[in-house]
Amino acid sequence: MEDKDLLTLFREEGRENYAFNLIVEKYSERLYWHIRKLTASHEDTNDILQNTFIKAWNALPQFREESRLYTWLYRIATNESLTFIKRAKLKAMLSLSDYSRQIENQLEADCYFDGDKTQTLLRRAIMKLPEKQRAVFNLRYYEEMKYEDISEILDTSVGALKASYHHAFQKVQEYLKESV
Amino acid sequence: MKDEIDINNTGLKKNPFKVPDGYFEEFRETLSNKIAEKRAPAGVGFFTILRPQLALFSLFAAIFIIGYGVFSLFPGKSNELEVIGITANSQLLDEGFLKPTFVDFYDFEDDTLYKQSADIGDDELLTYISEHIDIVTLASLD
Repeated sequence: MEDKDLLTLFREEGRENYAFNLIVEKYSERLYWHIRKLTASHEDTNDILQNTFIKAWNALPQFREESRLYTWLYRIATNESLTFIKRAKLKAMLSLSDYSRQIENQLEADCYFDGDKTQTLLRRAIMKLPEKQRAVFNLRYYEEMKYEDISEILDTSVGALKASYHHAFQKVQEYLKESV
Repeated sequence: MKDEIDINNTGLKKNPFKVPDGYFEEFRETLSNKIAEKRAPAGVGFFTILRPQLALFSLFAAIFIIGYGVFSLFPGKSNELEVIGITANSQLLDEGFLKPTFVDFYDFEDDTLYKQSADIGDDELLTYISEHIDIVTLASLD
């Protein structure tokens, strides 16, 4: 079902639950992988994904369709993920531990990570990027999303995104070269 | 020569993560339950939630108003208390517990001298000072 039709269905009296279930069915997997590539942990991703949809449920009645439903959902998911990462970094700092090292260890210990050695190196390189740059890289590299759509999600100009992706790409390439 | 990793290799873009079996189906159900828990029951408005606090506030306000009204309606009680105080003092004087002084017997309201001093004008006062107080004493005053 198209996003427009889903929104129309949501606005019909007594049909919100049904429409929202369809929205969750359509976007839960996509948003899950987007969040997962930012946080690298299944448990954290699960929590963030739930918060994302709860926020979407609460805000959907007021959604004015100034952006498309899918970029709006991605925006909520990205903001929730970035907030989570900031909090995790602060927690690590307060307990005098190294957040980057924690993430690396997490990746190695993650039983839901199925990548080979090269993919492990690539993930490590990506996790070293600053969070927002990581989001840009993931959306462009893995999802091959258009810059215009990423611009809507991250509220950043297309020019800035292109520059950010270019730098991120170079950093990742550099890391892979040194690691081999 | 080391093999360089080609980041544009499509194999590298393959998703390296996986989820527990049945995760997404379970997720929809879990989410549905969580949203149902967070939803407030229909018809619960702001005043409905505030009603107990408003009732308590009204009760205290009523008690205060009644109490204030009672005290306002019977003002004589304070005079009675004064009379009781004066009577008690007289009793103590009679019994010798209090030593009477000039102040106890002096009636300030009927004092004509006091009243006269209130009627003295500035000119009169200056004349008195110049006639009765010498210049040395005046100079020593601050």
